[in-house]
Amino acid sequence: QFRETKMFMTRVFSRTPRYNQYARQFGVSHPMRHGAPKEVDENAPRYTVNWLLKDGSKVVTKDVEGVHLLEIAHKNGIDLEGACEASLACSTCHVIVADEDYYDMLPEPEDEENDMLDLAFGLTNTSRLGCQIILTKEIDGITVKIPQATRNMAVDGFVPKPH
Amino acid sequence: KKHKIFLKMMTSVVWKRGSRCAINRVIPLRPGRLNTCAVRNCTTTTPTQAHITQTPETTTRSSATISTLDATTPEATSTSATVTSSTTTSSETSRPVRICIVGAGPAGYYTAAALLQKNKNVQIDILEALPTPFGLVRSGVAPDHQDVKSVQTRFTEISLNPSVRYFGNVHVGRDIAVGELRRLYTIIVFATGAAGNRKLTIPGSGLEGVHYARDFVAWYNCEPGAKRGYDLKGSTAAIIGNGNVAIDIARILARRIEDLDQTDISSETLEILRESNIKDIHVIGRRGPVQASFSTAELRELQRMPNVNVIVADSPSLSESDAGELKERVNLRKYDLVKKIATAQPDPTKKNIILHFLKSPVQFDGDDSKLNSLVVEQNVLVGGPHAQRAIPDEGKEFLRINCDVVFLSIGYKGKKIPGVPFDSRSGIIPNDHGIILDGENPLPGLYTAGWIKRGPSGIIGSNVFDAQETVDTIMSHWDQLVNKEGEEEKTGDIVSLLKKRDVRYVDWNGWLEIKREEEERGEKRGKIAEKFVDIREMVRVSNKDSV
Repeated sequence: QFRETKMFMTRVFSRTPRYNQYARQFGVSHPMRHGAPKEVDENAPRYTVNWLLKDGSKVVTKDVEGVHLLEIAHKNGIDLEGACEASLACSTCHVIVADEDYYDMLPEPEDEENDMLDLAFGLTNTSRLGCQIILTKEIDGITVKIPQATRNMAVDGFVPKPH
Repeated sequence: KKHKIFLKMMTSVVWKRGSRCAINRVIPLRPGRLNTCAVRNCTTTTPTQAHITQTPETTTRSSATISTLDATTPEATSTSATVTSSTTTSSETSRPVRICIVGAGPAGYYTAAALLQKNKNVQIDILEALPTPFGLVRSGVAPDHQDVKSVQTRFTEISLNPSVRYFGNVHVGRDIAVGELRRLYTIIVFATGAAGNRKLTIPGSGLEGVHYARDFVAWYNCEPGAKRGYDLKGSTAAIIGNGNVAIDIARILARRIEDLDQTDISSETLEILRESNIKDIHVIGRRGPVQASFSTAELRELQRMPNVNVIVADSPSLSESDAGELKERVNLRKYDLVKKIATAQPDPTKKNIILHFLKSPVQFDGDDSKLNSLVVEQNVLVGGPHAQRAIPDEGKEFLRINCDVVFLSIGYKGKKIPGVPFDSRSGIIPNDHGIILDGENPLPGLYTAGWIKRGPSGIIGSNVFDAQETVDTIMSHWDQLVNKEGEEEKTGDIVSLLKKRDVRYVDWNGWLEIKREEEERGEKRGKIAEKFVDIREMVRVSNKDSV
């Protein structure tokens, strides 16, 4: 019943294109849309993503080229929200790339991604949206950290000045 | 050395002799900010009750609807200083811990998700005043932003978890009292959002044609009970405020009908918009572009509308302190976009959205009690970076802007829930990282999340972290709340209480009936859905198949 409902909801609520439809014509890379899983070649090489989770634990995943990190997270039961289902309309899949070298290897974010990152909680210089990081051979072994709220930080990013 | 606060059911706070503890003091900041401040360390060497003990006098105010709990002597329990918060310690064979979440918006759902992530043996009942779930995702997010609404899929997933039950059309305070909830549930989380408006009362604010943004949004989103009656036949609209809601209204007023008529926008609104003559829309902000609350994404969307010019009324200027604020990327990117927009050439065939900064309305003027213009004073910013205030610039003249309709978009505000402490100035429930406070005393088992906890700021995603914080607080108290010796077990079910009281609640299947019907009605008109505006109709449709 859940599967039916999930597909039903996706069909209804993703039907109307948002303004982004115009914007994307000018972009180079296309944001991933939530859709049916692609055909996977069993023999295709798999690349590693290392995850540092909110509770401090580590998970290692392997997947094929072309999938984005939000998809990988959900396939592996990793607690990363994707509220807008990879349509660049939220910042809940925000991840922090642990190594600057890997960060630099990723293609530059588009305006739309940067606009969403602006609103992300705990933004850093190596932050990206998980749904926009596409797994490739070049970034095999990338480590990403899922931001965790700390007690001293307000959820809208405000950090109180110490007395 | 770890240290925790132990909560006793008599709401006194006790800690062991010689232990240090950190108490997070709640110091109210200005509305819209999270209501916590620095951590202060304090030591105590006495084993007796801490100085924050709830006195009988203060109990009466809130205990009228909070049932009194068993008296227990305030001895330190022998449990260890650390509390394992990663998993519950209640055994799998024991009854599930009953949790009630009041409010089925993003905060409520993300709280449920975080609780389910940490606990297997729980039963979570989500109560919602409207028959329909999802809060502002359904009634706040604009109809031309359907991809933002796709978070409903996630919320549906949570609702379908076997540990979760949904009860729509149940209004806490009207259909059931908080005291009754306390008898049914071990843990209650209030996530009721901000149902009211911040008011602007200046001369002329009662004129015909002056409206609150929130009411207009509720109307175009078919929220039951929304105010109707907006005259858009004039040529000019003004919106007071610089948040995303102000931008939403500007955009909806400017949108081509063909970009709206297939959405789930109210059909009544569509007809009014079809006949609208509005060509100029002024968006008026009290502070400068660097302080504007709207998101860069929203401004960019305006810029890209094919039938709209975005104009900046005065060339954007920066105060000294602005330079400090521009060190933050979010501010810099926003300001850069405003600067870019200021250089664009307007096309006279298009509609105009005009951005005004450093202006505050001082009065609305009219003719025969109908609005025809507004007067603004010009402001200057004073103060250091991140602490700038707008004050009237005495050297600058007042300006008159002719307009036919005004929308006041200066913020939402929380409403009090009977039986729950409330700070009416800021419109939030006083709390400490999510546990509700009565004065200085934490109320055991009562928590809050979302806008009613931190004020009406942030986006849908902000609630992921807000809820996480509240649930972390709940987990740190879990052992005290759940494994209480002598505490009477929560018996009874809300279902029998609601039935006895003849409350026609809507369960999840009932909501799916409503949704199905809305989509069918929509299909007949070429829209993705034709939403119901009448609660009775919703309830009738939801109970179609039931006896």
